[in-house]
Amino acid sequence: MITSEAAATVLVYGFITSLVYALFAEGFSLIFGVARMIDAAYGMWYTAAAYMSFALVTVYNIPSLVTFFATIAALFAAGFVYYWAVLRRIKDHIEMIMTTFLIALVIQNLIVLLFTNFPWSTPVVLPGSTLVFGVSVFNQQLAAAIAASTLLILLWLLIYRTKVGLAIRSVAQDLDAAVCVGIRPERTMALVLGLSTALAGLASLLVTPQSTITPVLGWPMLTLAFAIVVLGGLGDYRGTLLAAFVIGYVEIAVQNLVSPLYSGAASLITVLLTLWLRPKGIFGRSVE
Amino acid sequence: MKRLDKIFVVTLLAVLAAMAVLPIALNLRFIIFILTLTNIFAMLAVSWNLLSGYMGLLSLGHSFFFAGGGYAAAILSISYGVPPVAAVFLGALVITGLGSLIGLPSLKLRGHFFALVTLIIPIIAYQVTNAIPQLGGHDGIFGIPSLFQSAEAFYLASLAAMAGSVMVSYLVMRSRLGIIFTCIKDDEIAAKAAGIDVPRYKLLGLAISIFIAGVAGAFYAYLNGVISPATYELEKASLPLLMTLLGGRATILGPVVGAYIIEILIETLKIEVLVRARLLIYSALALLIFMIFPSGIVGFLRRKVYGDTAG
Amino acid sequence: MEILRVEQLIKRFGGIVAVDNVSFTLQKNEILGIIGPNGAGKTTLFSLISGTEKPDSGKIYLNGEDITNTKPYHRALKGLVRTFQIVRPFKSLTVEQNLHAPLTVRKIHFNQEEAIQLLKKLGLIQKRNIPAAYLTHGEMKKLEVARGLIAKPRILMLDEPFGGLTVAEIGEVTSVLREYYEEGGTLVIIEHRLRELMKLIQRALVMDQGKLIFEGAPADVAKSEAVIKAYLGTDTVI
Repeated sequence: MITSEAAATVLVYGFITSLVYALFAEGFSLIFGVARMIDAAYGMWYTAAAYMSFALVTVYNIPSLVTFFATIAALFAAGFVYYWAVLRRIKDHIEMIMTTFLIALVIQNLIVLLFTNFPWSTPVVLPGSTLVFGVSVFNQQLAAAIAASTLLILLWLLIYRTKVGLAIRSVAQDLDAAVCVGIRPERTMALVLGLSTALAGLASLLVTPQSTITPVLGWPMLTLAFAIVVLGGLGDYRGTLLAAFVIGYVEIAVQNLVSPLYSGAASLITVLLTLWLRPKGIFGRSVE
Repeated sequence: MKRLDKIFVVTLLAVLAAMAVLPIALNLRFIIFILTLTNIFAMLAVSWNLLSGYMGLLSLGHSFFFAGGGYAAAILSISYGVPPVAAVFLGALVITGLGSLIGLPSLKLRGHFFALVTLIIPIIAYQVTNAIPQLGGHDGIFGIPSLFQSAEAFYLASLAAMAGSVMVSYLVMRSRLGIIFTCIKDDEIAAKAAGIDVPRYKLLGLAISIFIAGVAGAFYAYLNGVISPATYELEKASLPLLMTLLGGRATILGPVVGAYIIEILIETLKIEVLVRARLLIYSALALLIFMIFPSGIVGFLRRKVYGDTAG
Repeated sequence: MEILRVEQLIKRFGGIVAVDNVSFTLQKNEILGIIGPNGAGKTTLFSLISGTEKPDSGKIYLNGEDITNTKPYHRALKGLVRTFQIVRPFKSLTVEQNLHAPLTVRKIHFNQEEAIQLLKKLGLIQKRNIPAAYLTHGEMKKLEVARGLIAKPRILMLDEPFGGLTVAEIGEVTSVLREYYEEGGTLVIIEHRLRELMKLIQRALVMDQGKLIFEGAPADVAKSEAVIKAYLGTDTVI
């Protein structure tokens, strides 16, 4: 049946994939849980970060580390502006999806205009590979896993152990009460949006080196984040983390044990079934 | 009927007659193909408008119904020998059944989750189609027989089908169904309290919309002679949305006006840079219109003619 | 003749028991008032009866038929019609179309003349062709009453129909409700404006903290010690 080698591959790659998915989905979960917003352009921040770093490194020859921080700073700022200029004004959920969807299309086509639809290969930042439990893993991926886990811990500390995090959690729980104790909800939400776009960018920068990028890269990522957040019970940190591992492992298992052709569809079908059969997610709020 | 309405209907019929006669009489062969394509996308936009404009069920994945209709018609006529004209309607029926089956559990979800589910479905369909050789895999299905021998006949058929879909959406919205759909869009809880079986009517609206999109997709497959998984992609899902927003959401003629404007733009923008920028231009245009004139061009004109509050 | 029977309804929200073992019956062609302090569970009781919420336990019978597990629109079609405390007109439909809406799914033919008469009585006739979104709050409230009445319900349940209305508007609403009653209709009304309510109803239920604490003639409500305690707060009196 399943060889121990295949099992080890699934275990190791599933773990790495899940960590990156978790990092990406926590950003979406944050906007959903705190600001009660759905950002249909969330995948586009992922794409934008990939192209920005690609352009800085290959076109302008800027060192990787500088590029990394410049891209993250730019995305954080973009999220901030995005909130103040657009999201703040929209009250209705449907209108929000429509607007953010259109914004995503604009950004995507801007990228098409600048970079064309050509699937560019991104440069290697960390060459070589290492054996992990007998499975050969690119150093790039190993570094991504380590960075993602560090960032996930930092994010947890930020939300649950700092004053800013307290403000974020108060706004998430009860907006009116938060206002009463002197929290400025708009500042908190702008911060949350900045954090979320920065997280999308971080996930992108960890994964996209040593691969190919296209302007439509972000759409599967958006549905993935949506899938994870729904499965995890909408806006719950631990739920999202757990759900990211479920989706990550389903995808890698199907990819290695069945066929790579079905891997994307498998995880999306998982979420459709969740939505239909158990709309509350693994634990959490209802979507009906 | 008001006098204004009469003038309007007569003008509309005249425009329709001119559209049927002029391109053929003047023998504008190169335009006929483009106009046929425009009619097909107008139909798709009409279908989207019915579901997302009038009923408020935002679909970001209409490409699923469009491509699905194309695939069903292609398979029916190639593998089962169904005559093309019948295959158009049978194919649309097949995708209506499949789409309704998938839609049934999704319609229970709150509006924004429904929208996100519609975004997922074409992605799944794309990957599944890619992986199944019987559906032609990555290359799609080739050698679909033509619906009609002459391009002119095809054009007239597409025009008739498009006018038919407009007529259907007009009749639906003028009937008691129109009131019911508007109630559901405005307030589902109040609609239930008024005695409306909300899930049933949502499903009915979805089915009508899918059917129209399926017919459009079948026409599209016959026009190109080939259908591939690329038809599921985002461009086909976003075009009806952009066209309808431009022309006017929740207006009868808005989607058609939007489709004609956008398709004419496509053909005008033959210059290389502009062709690449065309989707950027549409999406930026639609975003601007959505934020500034939420009711689009037709809504704007209607307010000018009928005064501010006329429905 | 008994038309509605509610048996031992219980509804919990988290730790709170919003409706706590409530039973009562309603006779045909009766006007019943339900009063009680804020948070007593009156609106929740309405939602349970109309089907918007599901009870944790208990039964509801309409004309002897168990409707506890039927859908809200099903109950509405059986003649159990409600209005909402926070108004819910169909905002993009015109006032007249709002009256048409409930009849699109019923076997009753939409009689425009009848709709016009009803709108006249409620002072809404001038707004007939205006989308409901442009109405004032009081007009929306009256439109809800009209939308309930046009469906010719067996029981009309009104949640604070006088809330936010002027004295003149209350007069208009009261008179159409009386007409409906005189033609054989049955009414259940939740209302805080007791002076206006007491003139209209024949029997009163008083709720407090989810429980039914009084049932009887309107004149006796003020004499009940339980009611006085509920409105004043038990702990402070002693």
